[in-house]
Amino acid sequence: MSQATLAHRLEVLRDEALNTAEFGEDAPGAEIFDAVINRLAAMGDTDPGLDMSLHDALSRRLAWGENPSTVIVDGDMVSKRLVAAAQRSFTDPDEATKIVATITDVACAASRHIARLAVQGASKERAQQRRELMVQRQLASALEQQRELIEQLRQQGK
Amino acid sequence: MAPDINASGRTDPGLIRSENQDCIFVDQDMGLYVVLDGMGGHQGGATASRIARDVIVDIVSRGLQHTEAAKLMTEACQTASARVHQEGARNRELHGMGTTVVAVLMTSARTAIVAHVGDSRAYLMRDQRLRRITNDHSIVAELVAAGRLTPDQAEDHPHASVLSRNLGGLPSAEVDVQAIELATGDRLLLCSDGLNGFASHSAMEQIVGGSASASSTTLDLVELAKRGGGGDNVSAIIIEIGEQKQRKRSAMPDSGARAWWQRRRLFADVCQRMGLGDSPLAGGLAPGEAIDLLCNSFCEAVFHDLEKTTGVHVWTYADSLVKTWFAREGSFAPIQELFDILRAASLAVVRDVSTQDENFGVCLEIALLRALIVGEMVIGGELGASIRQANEQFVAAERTSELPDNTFANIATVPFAALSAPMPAAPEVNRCLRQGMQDAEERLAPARNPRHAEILRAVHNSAGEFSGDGDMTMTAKSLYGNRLLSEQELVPILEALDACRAAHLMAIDWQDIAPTARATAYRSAALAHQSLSHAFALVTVDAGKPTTDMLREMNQTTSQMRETLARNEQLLTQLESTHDTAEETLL
Repeated sequence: MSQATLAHRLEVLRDEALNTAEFGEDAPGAEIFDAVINRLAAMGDTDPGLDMSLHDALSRRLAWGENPSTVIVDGDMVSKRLVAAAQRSFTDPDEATKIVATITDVACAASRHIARLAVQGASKERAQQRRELMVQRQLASALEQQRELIEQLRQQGK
Repeated sequence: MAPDINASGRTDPGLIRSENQDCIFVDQDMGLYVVLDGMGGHQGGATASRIARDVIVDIVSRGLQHTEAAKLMTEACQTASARVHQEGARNRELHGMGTTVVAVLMTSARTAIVAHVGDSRAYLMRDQRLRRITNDHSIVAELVAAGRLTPDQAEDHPHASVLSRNLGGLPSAEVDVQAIELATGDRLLLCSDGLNGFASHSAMEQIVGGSASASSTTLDLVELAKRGGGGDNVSAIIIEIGEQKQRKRSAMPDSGARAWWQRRRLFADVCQRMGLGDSPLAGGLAPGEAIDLLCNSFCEAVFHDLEKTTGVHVWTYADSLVKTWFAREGSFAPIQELFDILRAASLAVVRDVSTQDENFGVCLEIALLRALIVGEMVIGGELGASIRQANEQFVAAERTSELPDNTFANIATVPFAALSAPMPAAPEVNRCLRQGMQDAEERLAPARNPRHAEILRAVHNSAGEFSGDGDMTMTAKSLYGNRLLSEQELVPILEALDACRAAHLMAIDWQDIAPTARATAYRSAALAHQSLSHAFALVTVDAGKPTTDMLREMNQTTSQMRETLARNEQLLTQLESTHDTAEETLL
């Protein structure tokens, strides 16, 4: 049984693993399912660490404003459902193990990517904090000058 | 040939393996008894054991009259080895097949010639003691014999099943042959490692030393191995020496454990009559499986506790049952009903024992009631934990003055959980997980990274629960630490997670056990790694939230300062304008 056929057989579990009834093709966690199928179909010659389509899909969801925690939880839910569905549908232990291995690779790659994005985001925010602090110091200084000038003008007005 | 010899043999595929590669031969007329345990490939093991059996039987039957027995057995085993090797070399699919053998040839009613190769064993039951009379031909056994391993280390050794000799591995096999002088009342046990690998020596001794017939004893031994996990094909032959009436048959068994074990069918019948098969605790199982799960497991736990004078087995039985049941939304009533049935069935056993010896019946009753009390203590502990949990929830709700949606007042006292409640893993799966963890630790040891041990331990514990979703948050927090990480600090942790996952899953995948059990172990370990990875990502995201909140507050403050600046600018313009007008007026 080739891996391409394995991907084909796993693809029929899409509705079982994803909540397509409510959300359609773009159901939460669809990027995990697609990455598993792609990885199986590619005969295992791609590395999930280099799977740009998975990274792009995750980054896109985050860029659209989705909460990273939600993206992680969705991915977790889909990968676990997929493992359960595969366990039920693939009776050959070797096939089931191959699929579980692929799901685990993809799920962990997704978590790793989001963790890195979160840390990168936190680093940018810390840099922004420093910039804001400098801006606030300049503003405070300008406000102080304004207050002195206002006070001076008020005194002169009296 | 041997008029006062009675023998019986039995072989069974066990609970995990679909094919029986063991093979036995029992012929009282010829006086030949053989147990073979085949190995290698899909069909190879079964083919090897059957070829070897046929060759041994053929050679012994032809040479019995005119060849010395020990020489005959050696020749038979060596020819069998050559034939298996030859067949393996000729057929590519059978290449590398082999088999162990332990064979007994009764040359008279009192002399047995025992020949063996590999780790199938022969035992002698004499004076109520079961003594092994063959030494395993395994790498580990040889290391123990050489003093390089202790017997305890040997039990858990990863290569415990690697043989140093077998029939078929080489054209000529080195065969150990010995002559045993037998006495009336002796029993010989020949077995494959599917028995001694899954049953304790003392339990085997209890059964072989019992007064049951040879046929019943082999049935009991096979059942014992299956109760111990049944992870391998199991075969046993019992050879009784002497007239049945000469064997020690006391009216009353000499131990409570044995008396209990001999009446386990009575116990099961009473349980079945009282409706144990319909208990909600066994929901979804066929009645036979329900009796197996609830009644036979209890029976075995009590046997081991009586045998060792402990309560740990009944405790484990009750703990596993009650926790699983409560985790599946279970209420208290069915547990109470179960223990009522177990108590009634136990008392039925006591009554049966009392008909033979009243005093012994009283002693057994005390021991059984103690076992039931141990089980009820476990239930009490679990109920207490549930009440404490509900109380904590109540106190928390009172403090916040807000009742959560799932407040304890709205649900049963025993907390409900997911429908797919964790079930205890099969012993072979647990062994595979344990061995996989040890192998992964060895593989990662050169890196000397303390995170590896922490990750592997957490994943192993979670996978052992068989839920694949243990509480990984604590481990994830521990890995993350107390301060906000930079990307440079994050990468080593992610690499440690990846390294552990790769090494651990590979180690499990390489375990030499039944594919189904290996796949189950692999899945539960993979789910545990996924859970840890997700938990770590969530912790990382959560760790960045205070920074985001603080930045938002700073942005608001900056905006307010800019607004103030703009307002002041307007005020200044007004004041300057007023000041200019006043100056012009004065001039």
